[in-house]
Amino acid sequence: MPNDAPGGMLVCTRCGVVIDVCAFCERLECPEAICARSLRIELGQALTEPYAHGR
Amino acid sequence: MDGKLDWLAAGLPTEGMNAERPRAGTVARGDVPTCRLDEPVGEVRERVRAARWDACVAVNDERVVLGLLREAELDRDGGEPIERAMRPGPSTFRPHVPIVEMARFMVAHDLPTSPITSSDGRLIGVLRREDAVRAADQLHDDEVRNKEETH
Repeated sequence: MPNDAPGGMLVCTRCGVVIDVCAFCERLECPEAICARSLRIELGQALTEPYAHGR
Repeated sequence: MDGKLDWLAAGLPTEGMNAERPRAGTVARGDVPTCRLDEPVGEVRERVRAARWDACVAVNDERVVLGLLREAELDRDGGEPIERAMRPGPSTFRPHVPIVEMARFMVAHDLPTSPITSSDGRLIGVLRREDAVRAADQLHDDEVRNKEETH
């Protein structure tokens, strides 16, 4: 989904949150802009541990 | 070391079915030039070009990544200190990220290089887009070949 937010706002193409720069390429004008949270989830960097370990 | 992901995030060796699959940390180049914050850009630029690189990572004494210099930053005034010329706090990626994902993102965002760090921010290496794409293509070819051989 390309970034076509109105008014020059940059929004995450995954979750729609307004962001200052793309979390991946750090560019102000990025057609594939993604927020830091969505990026961590997509790249598997968000989890602190893979399993609940019984909790 | 708290858990499996911390182990992976530190770039430590793994076992199991996915252990052989290339990841950001295994494809990243550890020989990327590094520099200190107080060095002048001109000296760093010479060192980087001599090493046939187009990027340099600013680190502290513990090799924690502080900044990144790509072509545009390396082309700045030679007397300027690295601290002012670099891109501070660049996006960094963990070594366990599958290379296919990194290649996909680097192509989609037209990003030539990405720093790979452990979860505590220490530099492991820099992943170059061409290396990521080559490794992802190789993985795809290998998987197609393996599939054909099993049928």
